[in-house]
Amino acid sequence: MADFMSFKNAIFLVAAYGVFWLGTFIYVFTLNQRQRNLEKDLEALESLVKKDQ
Amino acid sequence: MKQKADVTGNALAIASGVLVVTALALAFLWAPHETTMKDVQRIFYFHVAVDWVGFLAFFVTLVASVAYLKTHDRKWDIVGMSSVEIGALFLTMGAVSGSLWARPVWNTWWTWDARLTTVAITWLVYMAYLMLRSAMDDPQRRARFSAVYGIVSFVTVPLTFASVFFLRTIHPALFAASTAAQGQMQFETGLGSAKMGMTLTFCVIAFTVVYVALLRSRIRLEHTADRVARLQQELVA
Repeated sequence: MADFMSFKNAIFLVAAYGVFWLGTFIYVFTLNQRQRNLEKDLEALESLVKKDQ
Repeated sequence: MKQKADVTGNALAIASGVLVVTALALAFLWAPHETTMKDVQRIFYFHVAVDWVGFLAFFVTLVASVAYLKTHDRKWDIVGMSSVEIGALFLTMGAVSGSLWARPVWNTWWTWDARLTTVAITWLVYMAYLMLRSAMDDPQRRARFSAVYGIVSFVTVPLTFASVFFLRTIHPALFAASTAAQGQMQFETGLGSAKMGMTLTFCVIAFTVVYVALLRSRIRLEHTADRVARLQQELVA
């Protein structure tokens, strides 16, 4: 019977969980970056609109 | 004017983090290993949970699409699009993790069996949603197209789910009658079976909370983008 707990198979297990963490982390990071950039733009635009008025 | 802190969003993020770490601990430390596959089987807990989230996300898109066609309210378009984005991400992670499980167990990264083929079709259909949407400039037309597409494309989801029951497949069927020949997992004790079930349920709940947190953030991002666009138009006018 194949030994499913060989080191090679443990790598697959670690890699699979790594995919979840990496995928989620990258997505959360990009969302946060985009939110921050948009909020900076929003602040700048709001002060321009106030100046105009 | 500085944006006020997103208290609910932060609370959801913290809750998601705690739940996922707990789910990880349960999957590795509490749930027993399976008789044949041993510890490689533990991929199953997160694999099933992210696939569940993917399908849930597409269902939310279906509901949001119907709501948009009824009300023509931009908020439903935002919900639908955001949910597809997250669903596509989770389905991708589900497919990759499934492939990593399949390599040691089936001795192949991929096979064109019914379940995997239907998942691939679902993935392609929703990736096309995102690509076609990004190619449309007119916001109303884009929203209408996305809503119709979001409703029609949902047909791939029950098809994928049912493929394991009605078509010939080597993919394990979680809810099938238990025989090893049908790919059902064999546990060392009856308690092991219950522990596996509870771990899986917890993982599904944890990832559902993660989905809600991500969806909220993505919707908030889109609303902020809309406000920026409106202010830019106001300045130009």
